[in-house]
Amino acid sequence: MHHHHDHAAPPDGSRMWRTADGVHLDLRGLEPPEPMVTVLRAIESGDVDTALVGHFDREPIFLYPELEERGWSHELVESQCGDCEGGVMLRMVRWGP
Amino acid sequence: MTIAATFLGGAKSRLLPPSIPFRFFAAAAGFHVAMWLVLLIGAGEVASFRGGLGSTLAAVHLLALGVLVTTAIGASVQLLPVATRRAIVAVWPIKLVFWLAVPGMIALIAGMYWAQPIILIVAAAVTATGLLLFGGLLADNLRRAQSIPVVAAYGWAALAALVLLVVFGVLLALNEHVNLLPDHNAAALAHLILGGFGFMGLLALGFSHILVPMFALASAPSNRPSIIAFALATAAIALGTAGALAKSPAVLTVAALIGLVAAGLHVRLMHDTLKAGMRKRLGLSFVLIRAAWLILLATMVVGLAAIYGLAGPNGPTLFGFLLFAWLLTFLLGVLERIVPFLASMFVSRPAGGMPLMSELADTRLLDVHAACHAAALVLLFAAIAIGNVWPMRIGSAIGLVGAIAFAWFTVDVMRRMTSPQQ
Repeated sequence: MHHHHDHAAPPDGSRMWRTADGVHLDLRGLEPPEPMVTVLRAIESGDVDTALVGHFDREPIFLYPELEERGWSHELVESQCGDCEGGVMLRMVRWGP
Repeated sequence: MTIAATFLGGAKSRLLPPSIPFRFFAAAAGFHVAMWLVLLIGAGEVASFRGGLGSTLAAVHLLALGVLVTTAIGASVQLLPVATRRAIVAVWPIKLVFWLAVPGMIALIAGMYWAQPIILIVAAAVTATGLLLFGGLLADNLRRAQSIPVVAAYGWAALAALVLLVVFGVLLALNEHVNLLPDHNAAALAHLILGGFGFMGLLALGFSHILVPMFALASAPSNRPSIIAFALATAAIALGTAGALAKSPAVLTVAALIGLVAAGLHVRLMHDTLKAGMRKRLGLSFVLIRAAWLILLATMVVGLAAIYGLAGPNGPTLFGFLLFAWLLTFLLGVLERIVPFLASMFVSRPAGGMPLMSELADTRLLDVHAACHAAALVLLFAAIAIGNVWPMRIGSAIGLVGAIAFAWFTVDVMRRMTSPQQ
């Protein structure tokens, strides 16, 4: 686990890291529905407490109702983080039980 | 801007206006009602149906074109751009597909019902134009689908089947007026295999590789066995088409055996996916989908038996019935999930966030539909197997009630989606 203060992925190529924003998950290059399933596994396993940032190749619209059912809100962030060019970034925050 | 508004702005960019997919789903729901009605009216002719113009052929096409193809177009124009990250450039070609294919289908089916070859031929040409335009849109999306190789492989094979299916369909229509085909029945069987197993079957199997893991919250099946199942299914369809045209029981037998292995492998992969999924309570839609998989396997077994006259005097009809029963049952199971899901994407609430899918759908209507659907299929199977008209009449009437419940469900979701309270 890394502690960056920007959105860049750690240089060692790991797909999960932590910044001030919360836990980041790099889901790019995964075949659908793997990105969605990985996010939900992270949420349900308890690895992530209140905030999660997902880096996706494409907007994960099928994830939205699943997040809603689990008490998580989501917000699409314009991806100008250099490292996630061409993809999208989704901020997810727990609000419910 | 609220979080919900930001999200909707983003999601809407990749979603079509709701009127586009929903016009196809609403048309399919209407065709579904009409199909059961026509079956009920022409119940006496169904069990011994072996082709030819009339009410049974009209009912078959109400199902195949009206329900199955129309839904497949609506679902794929909506789902593929999302899966392939392709921004939606223009909506008018999809509207044009609708305005060619759906009125074309209505006229085509009327031409079959009232045995009017000229109407049939003109309508076949219009419908064919709409379907080939859809084929072009599908190809355009599949070109960008490198990230989903299994779905893309199924999609390309389905597209090839669509082109051949349309060619045979137009030739069969022309053959009602001028003698073109050396053997009308052989071409009709090839048309059935290309449509039921080729276009619709391959699309159903291909989309399953995304939809089933997505619904069950599981990883997709690994590529290697999926590609083997795909290769077997495609080989079975190619051989089946060739065997039908050559009237060769031996080739048809090999095709049916390969098809049985392909279907078994597919069902096994899907079963394992469900077992590994995070969501265990899959609801009514998966009761339909699991039943559909069993009917798919039964279709192959009965098809094999029918080649050798071992499926009773109405064996060929029974085979055709099971083929459509698998496709219809699977598709209704998928629609139950997708229709409220898509509706929820278009709705924003004042409080922010999205409505839960349960708020957008009346599930009691789906219970009524599923019970009627199951009873109707059992009665129709019995009617064809024993050659008796009464189970056909009662089954069609029950099926009609179920179809009305499903149409009501579809309209109700659309009404809730567009109502200002939401």
